[in-house]
Amino acid sequence: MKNTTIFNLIASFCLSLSFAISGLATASEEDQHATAAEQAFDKGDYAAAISNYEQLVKAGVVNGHLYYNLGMAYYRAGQRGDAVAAFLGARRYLPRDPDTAANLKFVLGTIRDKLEPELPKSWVNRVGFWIDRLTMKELAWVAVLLCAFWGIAMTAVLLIPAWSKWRWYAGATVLVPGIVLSSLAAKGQDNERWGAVELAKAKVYSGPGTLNAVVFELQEGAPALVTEVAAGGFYRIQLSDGKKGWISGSHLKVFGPL
Amino acid sequence: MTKILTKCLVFLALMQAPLALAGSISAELSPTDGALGDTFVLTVMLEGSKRSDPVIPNVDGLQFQQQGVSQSMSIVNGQSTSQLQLTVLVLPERAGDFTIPSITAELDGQKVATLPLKLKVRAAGAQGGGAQAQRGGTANPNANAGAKGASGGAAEGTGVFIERECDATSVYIGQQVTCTMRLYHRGNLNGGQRVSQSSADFRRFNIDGEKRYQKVVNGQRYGVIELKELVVPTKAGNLDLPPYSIEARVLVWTKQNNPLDKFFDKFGGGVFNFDLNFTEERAVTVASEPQRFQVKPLPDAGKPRNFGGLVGLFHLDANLSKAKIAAGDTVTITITIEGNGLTDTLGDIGPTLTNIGKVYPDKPEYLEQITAENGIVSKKVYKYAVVPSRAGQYDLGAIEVPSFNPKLNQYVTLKADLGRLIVDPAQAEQHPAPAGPTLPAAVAKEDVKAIGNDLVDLHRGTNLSSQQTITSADKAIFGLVAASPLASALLALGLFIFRNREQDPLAQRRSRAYRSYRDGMSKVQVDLAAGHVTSALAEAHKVLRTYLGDRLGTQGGSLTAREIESILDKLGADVETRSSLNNVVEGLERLEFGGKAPAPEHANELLATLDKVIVGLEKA
Repeated sequence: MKNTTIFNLIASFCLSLSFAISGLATASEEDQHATAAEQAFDKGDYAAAISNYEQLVKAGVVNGHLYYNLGMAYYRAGQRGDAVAAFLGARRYLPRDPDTAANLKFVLGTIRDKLEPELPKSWVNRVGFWIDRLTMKELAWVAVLLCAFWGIAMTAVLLIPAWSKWRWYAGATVLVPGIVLSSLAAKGQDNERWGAVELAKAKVYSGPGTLNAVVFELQEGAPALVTEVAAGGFYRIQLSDGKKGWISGSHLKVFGPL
Repeated sequence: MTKILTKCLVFLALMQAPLALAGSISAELSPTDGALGDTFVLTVMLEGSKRSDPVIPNVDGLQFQQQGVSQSMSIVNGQSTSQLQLTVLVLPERAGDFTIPSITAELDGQKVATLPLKLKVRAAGAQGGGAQAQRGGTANPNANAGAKGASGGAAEGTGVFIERECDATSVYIGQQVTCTMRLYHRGNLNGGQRVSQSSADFRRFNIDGEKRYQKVVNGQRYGVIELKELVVPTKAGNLDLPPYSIEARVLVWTKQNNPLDKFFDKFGGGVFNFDLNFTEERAVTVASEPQRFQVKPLPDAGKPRNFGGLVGLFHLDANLSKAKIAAGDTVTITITIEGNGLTDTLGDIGPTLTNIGKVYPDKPEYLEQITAENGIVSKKVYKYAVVPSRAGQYDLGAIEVPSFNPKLNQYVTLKADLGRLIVDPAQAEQHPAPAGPTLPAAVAKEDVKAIGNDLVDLHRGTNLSSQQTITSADKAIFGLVAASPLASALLALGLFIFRNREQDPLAQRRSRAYRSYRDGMSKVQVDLAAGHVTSALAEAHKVLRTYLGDRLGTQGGSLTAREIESILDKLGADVETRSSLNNVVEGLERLEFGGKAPAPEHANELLATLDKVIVGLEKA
């Protein structure tokens, strides 16, 4: 019995070690792709740079800097639609990065459809301007820390009699983490999934499928917000000028999870 | 034994032939070889004065569908003969070799039969062979088109397939090639859309518009939808252009067995097929084969040092907005490069004019037009706002842009002369050279829209492989960080509620004290109004003691004067309230136990004082 337990422990350790080693190997491979991409970019071999960066994307890496660099390579290779999509993806994870904002603006200036990469702001958006300045992860951290702080404060005012007069104030502050959590949910729902048209021209339909009427057309690089994903691979999109419609998912490139 | 059996069969067949001829029954199948999804026509002809309907036997894997019947009658020498022609569609359900057994009928009292018919059905999209030739297209009719490349692909069992033909397959980097895709269908295409296949090796441009026509290949009529795209290879080597895929919606025949048909099958089948045949839409993806390109690198021989990767046939134009200006004023240099090829990746080609003054480049304007006739025709316009700081006559020289012409296989340097610029010396003193990067007011807004003309550099030294999404590990950490304080808050809240519940009866009594007092006093007022002064005062006394008892959680009726004093201490009553209360209590006791009914005015006065005292105690 004792021998079996020891054997199990050793086996578990070996298994964990092998997982750790394979994890390191994967990380190293990803780093190699990143380095190769950068070198190819510097040599002007943009196709190779794209290929290496795309390897990382295919491996499931979600990283704003990666999307940014990929956007650079796309643009240099003349793939403007992909470049816009990559910079929009980078903005999602680097919302305060001036380089991303500058490059996105620059590339958008070269495309035919003059559309903004954001929806018109309502008063709610204006009040919650800070939401756009934080990534989902940062916002989640803020919410978690506020929840933790509120929990500690409530525990203290409920258990320490000398602080009992602060009970109502502490209770009322539940609104703060509540607001942040709501913002987190709203951000996850609304203002994240921006993509760009990949083809030279793409049709936008009144419903999810090509049997529906074509309501308008978009040209390469046109930015659009994905508001819904239909089962048949069609995306419901909204443009900065208020237009809405459905586009085939194979025509609109979006970086990051949908 | 085998030989004898063969001879017997031949004999039987020979015996059948005269029977068939005598009965004048014949059958014809056209074509006898085809692909799955094709339609075959079986024609049965009967001739005789008395005839029964022909019986078409059931064949596993084939579906018969009666298409039409025509009858005629002729009377020759007083004898009438009727002819019947039956047209039946044969729809194969699977690929394979089939034999349609003899079709029998009774003619003039004799049983007659046709010869068995053979049918070969190949899988749709199968390469080579007669079936492909019959279908005309999947077999890639352009396979030997010299330098051109062609490839095809089909969707199994639908009769829909696609072929792609490119103008050239041996090209230079950056050279544009037109590829033509032809989607063949048998009139059963109900729509479709292109499936994007991106490639890092090629830039692909769709050409708007499509051509629709019909084409007969090897006797089969096809509807053809012709689409075009332009591809530009971005690197050298043997590269495969990904397949051109179309997600097509195709109408296919399906069969649903009918009980009536099963019933008739028991009697050997019949001419009339009772199966329910209907079409259904099926989504299929048809894709051409990948197209191999041999992409040659641009030759090193004769490559100009400042070659910027321009491939195609272009012309260059340059001009000045003014030939003569005052120092400090702005002159705009416009350089236009236009032609057959892509110019969007071309970098800065502006002149070096730092010896004249400040140069402010505008963001280049890029236009492209893609047509089937001319391919990609692009135009890039560079504008530079020049603000001369020194007076003089300047020869601005020529702009030179090298390009590679793939048709000539050589580099060509495009040139455009900028001419001379005269800067008026008289104005030079009044307009000193502008300092710093800010634009002078004289520069027209339309000339200079943006200072920056390129992207910000790569993000270097950052970890590109770190995950920036919320991972499972993050969620676990979030849970740990937030859950413990929230759980402790919940526990503390539970404890707080539990403790409060223990103290509840006393607290409730305390909080109800004033309300009970007000209720009691309203009854006192009613008694007083009814003229029962003594009982009203006795009630008021009782209400007061109950109130005091409630405030401290004791029995109010048995409170002594000392205890009342103690209550007032605990409640923090001021001196005036204390003295008033003592007076009220004494007054009420005296009136209650004195036996003499007081005047109503005196009772009212006493009750008013009592009210004041209680309000004072509530505030305390």
